Order: sequence, then structure tokens, then C-alpha cells
Amino acid sequence: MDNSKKILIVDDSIVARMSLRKILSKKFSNIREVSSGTEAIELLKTEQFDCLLIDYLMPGINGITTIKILREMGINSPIIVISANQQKSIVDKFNELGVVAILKKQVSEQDLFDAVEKALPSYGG
Amino acid sequence: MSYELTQIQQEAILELLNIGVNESTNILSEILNVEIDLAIPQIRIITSDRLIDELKDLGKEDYSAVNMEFHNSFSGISQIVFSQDSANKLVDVFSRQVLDTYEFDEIKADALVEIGNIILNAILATFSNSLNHEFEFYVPVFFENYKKDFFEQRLKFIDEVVLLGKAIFRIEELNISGDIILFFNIKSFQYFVSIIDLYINKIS
Amino acid sequence: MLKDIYYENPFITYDHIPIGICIINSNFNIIFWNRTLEAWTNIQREEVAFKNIFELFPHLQSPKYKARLKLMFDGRPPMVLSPMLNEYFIPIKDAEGKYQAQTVTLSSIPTNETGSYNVIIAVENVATLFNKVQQYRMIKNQAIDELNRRIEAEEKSKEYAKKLEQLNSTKDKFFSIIAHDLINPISAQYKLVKILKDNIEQFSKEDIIDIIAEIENSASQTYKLLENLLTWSRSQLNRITVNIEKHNLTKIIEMAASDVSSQISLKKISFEINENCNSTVCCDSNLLATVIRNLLSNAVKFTNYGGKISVSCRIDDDFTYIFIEDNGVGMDEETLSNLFNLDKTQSKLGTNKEVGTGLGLVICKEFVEKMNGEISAESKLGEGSKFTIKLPNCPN
Repeated sequence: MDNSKKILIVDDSIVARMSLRKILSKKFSNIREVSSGTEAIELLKTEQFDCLLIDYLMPGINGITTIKILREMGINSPIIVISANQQKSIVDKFNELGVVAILKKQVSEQDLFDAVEKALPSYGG
Repeated sequence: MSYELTQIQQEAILELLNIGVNESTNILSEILNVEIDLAIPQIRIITSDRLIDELKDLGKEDYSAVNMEFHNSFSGISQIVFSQDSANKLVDVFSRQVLDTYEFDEIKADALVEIGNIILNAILATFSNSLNHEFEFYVPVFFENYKKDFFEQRLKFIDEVVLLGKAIFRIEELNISGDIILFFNIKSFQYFVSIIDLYINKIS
Repeated sequence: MLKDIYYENPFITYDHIPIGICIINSNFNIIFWNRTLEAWTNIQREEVAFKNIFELFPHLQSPKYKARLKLMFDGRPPMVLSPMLNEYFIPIKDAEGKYQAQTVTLSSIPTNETGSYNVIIAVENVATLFNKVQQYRMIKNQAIDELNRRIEAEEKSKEYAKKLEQLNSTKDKFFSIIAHDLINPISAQYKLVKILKDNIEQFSKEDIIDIIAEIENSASQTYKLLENLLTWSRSQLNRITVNIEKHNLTKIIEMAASDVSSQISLKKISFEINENCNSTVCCDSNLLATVIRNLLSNAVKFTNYGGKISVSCRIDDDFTYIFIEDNGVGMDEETLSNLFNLDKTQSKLGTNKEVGTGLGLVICKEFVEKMNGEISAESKLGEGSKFTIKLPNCPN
């Protein structure tokens, strides 16, 4: 169980956050969640995270805009996108922003851990 | 019989629906050749006798709908209803990508069947996969110029509940938006809710 | 027993329905091709067994087909592809070489392995319906064309009715002129002649000369009126031929002026033709002379004793302008605006009590238009009038 890595889940759906948390908590204990892009931006002004899991479709600002703003703020933490929407134009936009992976909802355990491993190269456990 | 859903149950159903509609946009955007956003912000439970009043919200009594029945331990009819305005917009985008010349009225029904089918298909598939419930699906049926009394005849499971949600679509590139109403007329609703509970347990 | 065959080969039932059924496995290989498809495509099942559907029908590789087929292998609900919006799924040509219109339904059926599916592609031939739709569309378009034609015809007949109305009003005008404007002077002439005949013994030679002069004056004017009337009616009936050629403008003006020279000198009016008229003009010499004569005649009529009439010209690249100006009594706004209007022509007495029917100007307008030109007038009450004839130049 890794206590050192802080992971942030950004998704408006409580069910989605629950299900991601459930999977992640098998290997990580330091997991935070927020329910919107705006909240995430606020939080990241003061706190640091090792990995961010961001949903695409959210009310208010969507995943793409959230990532853009975070990058502009200088936040370079690795980002994994969780999105049911896999339209080519959306996927291209995410790739342009340099995300580690774009996972399709409903995320399987295997896919999620593979992506996290990619995002946290130092993580070996 | 209580037809109330708890907060978490609502969230769960909403999440599944949104995953479904989002999936459908993957195909829709391939066919329409535009980026399309489709989301269901919230759902409501109403009793089936109130359905007709809900449909009045769509304006005139003429609307187009696609039905798809599903059967297993819980069964139902999923239905997608397009308001005339949204129907026209979608058909216009759809057909520009697909045909050179067309008579709008002729292709309207077909375009809506396809679009409606793609969306319902994605939703039901998501339900099936996530709830680990294999359904038997019946071939989709299309209704045009849905009139009030015709609808009443088709309502199979009277005295049952209807899960209804409004899906809002946006096509940024073309500055088009509209709404699509989804109905899930579910027989043995209680059973359905218990399956949702199982799902929630699984993920929490 | 038939029953046993069904159990052995569950697909055999599909050979007995009039819908094309093709079943593919998750490798997109064809594992069943029913009799109906064999009949439609002339491809026997042995030929396609276990062949890849994308290799056999490459058009299916386009995303809108491939993506949907792929999805079906996840055990999804059925999908329908409509004929209007999708090209043929399986290419089947009819007797005329057109591709069969098809409604295709994709359904997934589970296989023995859990989680694995085959996909049934059910092809319905909707060609007859489709063709009917095309036919109806054609009929509809024809009906619309016919409707448009009828509307056009109706418009045309309205036009004709209008024309007829115009002709009627022309005829009425004709009769009214005869009835009013001609009958009076002729009646006056008759009275004078009668007086002369009955009383010739009593009259002195000077008296007789005076009366005869009056008769002559009236007769001459009547003759002019009648001439005008005939010219106008001939013009209406399109009996006037137009010959457009190059002519010297000054010559035509002089020719027209000679006819009014006696009135000009009678009223001691100064008359001049500007030098800038000494140029070539493109026109019918008779028509132009008549127009200028009429305009000059009017100018003389409405100019006072000792007044002035001048004719000048301007020639630019495209048009020739002829200006006929007088410093006579002029006209008010109302008269000016109705000058060339047939319905509103009025008889107005000149400054020397000359009579007219107002037809002269109507004739001028018609003749100028016959030469592809325009005529216009300006006037100020008490100060005089200026008439402008604008004619296009001959193409070089």
C-alpha cells in the first residue's frame, strides 16, 4: 500500500468517483476527490498531486478546458483521462495536451493500473 | 409501492446512462463527421400515466420516436423521442454527410431511426455490461408523428414507472443544440432497483 | 427427419425466409449465407464460406459500417441501417443495373462460448418500396411543374386582359377625341360657311376675306388634328414602320421647323437652332421629324408674342440629346406629370387660342420609344418649358 503517492479524482458523478476509488484503494491510500474542474483548479493552487484522473464530460468546464488551465498554471502532474467519449477530435485534443492515457469508461482494473503505472514511473510496488 | 430513488441510486443510473450516450456519440460523430456532445443532466421517475403530460412539453403532439424492447429478469421498452426542432436539426446534419440530394421528408424517418437506434443501443449495451445482465433485445421500431392516443395504445406496462431523462446534444461546429427525451418503461421496477443496488455495492 | 436437420444445423431455418441472411463470426468470416442471398447475388454459399466479409465486400470497411459491425460482437442490441442513408450492404444489382435498396438489421447471437457472439446480418429487399417512392417523387415533381405552368398561363391571361383593357381605353379615347375635339371646330366651320352663303350680299369684300381667313384657320387646325389622330391610331395598330439610319440632325430639325415657320413668324417668335446640332444622329428621319415638329408646334402654341424658342443638342459616347426650349407660359406640376399619359391628355388652348387634343405628346413619346429613346420634360409655370429627346447612338 502506497501512502506517498497522492492521487486526485476529478469527476462530477459520485458513482464514477466511487468506482475509481474502489479500484485505486487496492494499491493507494492517499486519494482525494473533487466534483468539478473548477474545484480541481482551486485545490491545485495550494496542493500538489502525483497523478490526476480527470473525466471529460462535466458540467461547467469540461476535462479539456480543465487540463488547459492547469497546464497554464504550470501544473505538470501526469494526467489520466477517463472518458466514455472517444470521438477522434476529442482524443486528438487530449493527446495534444500531453496526457498519459485516455481510458474508456467503464474502466477495468487492469487498464487503470496500467495507466497509473505509466504515470508514476517511480512506482514499483 | 415506493417509486423513489435514493440519491446514490439516481447517481448510479445517471452515470450509466451518460456512459451510454457518450458511447453513442463515438459512432454518431463518425457518421455525422462532426464533434457531438450528448449528456443527460438528470433523471426523474414518474408514473406511466403522467407520460403523456411530459410529452406535451415537446410542443406539438407530433414527434418522432424509436422504441427498443429488452427482456430478461427485468424488461422494458426504451424509447427515444425527438422534438420536431431537434429532429430536423439532426436529420439535416446527418443527411448532409450522407447524401448529395435528398428530399427531407423522405429521409427524415430513416435518419431518426438510425440516430435513435445508435443512442438506445449504446445505452442498453452499457446497462447490460455494467449490470452484468444479458438481455434479449427486440428489433427497434420507429414511430413517426406520434399522436397522443397512439402512444397510449403502445404503452405496454401501464401502472409501472417510467424513468425519464432529457438528453441535451450540442454540435459546436454547427452551432446546433437540442434535446432528446429518453423513456425507460420498466416492468418490475423494484427488481431493476435491486440490480442497481448490486452494482453500487460492487463499485463502492 | 426434418426435425433432426434443424437440430444439426440451426441455421437451416434461415433458408426458408425471403430475407437475405448472412452470419459472421468475430473474425468477420462468413459462417452462413442463406439461399435467398444465393439467389440474389448468384454467389453460392460454398464460395463465401469462411471468407472474410471485408475482403469480399471492401466498401464495408468504411467506418460507418465497420464500426457498427465491430460493436455488435460485444453482444449489443440490434442495429438498423436504412436504405435512404446507407449504400447497399451487399451489392445486388437489379435488371436495370441499379443497386438494390436494402434495410439491414444487425443482431448478435451468443455462441457456445460465453461472452462470444456471432452477428446476423439480415438484408431486406426494399427495392419495390424504394422505387415506388422514387416514382411518387417524380409524379409529385411533374404535378408541381404542371401547377407552375398553369400559374404562368394564368399570369399570361391576366396580362392579355390588361392589354385588352388598354386597347379599349385607346379606342374610347379615339372616339372621345372625335366626339369632342373635332366636332366643335368642324361645326364652327360649317356655321361660318352657312353665314357666308346666306348673307354674302350683305358682306363687304373685307368682311368676306376675314370670314374666309377664319374658316381657313379653323380648317387647317382641324386638318392637323385629324392628321395627328390618324398618326396616333396607326401607331397604336403598329402600322408604322421604323427605319433607323444615320442622318444629319440639323437637317431634320430644319425640316420639322419649316412646318411651323408661319406660326413662328405670325407670333414674332425668335427661333434658333444651335450649331451643336450639326452632327449625325441615329434615327428614323420621319419619326424624329414628326416628334420635333410636334414639340415645336407646342412650343409655339404656348409661347407669347415675341418670345423665344431654341433647339440645342449634346452628344456623348452613348447618347444624343436634343433640347427644345421655350420661354412661354410653362406648366404646373400636375400638367407636367401627366404630359405623356394618354388617359389624362387634355385639350389646352394656346396663347393665341390654338386648339389641340393633347395627342401630340403621346405620339411623340411613342415614336421616340420606337427609336429606343426616351423623352422627358421640365417646366416652370410662367417661365417656360424644356423638352429633352434622348436617343442611343448608332453602334460603330
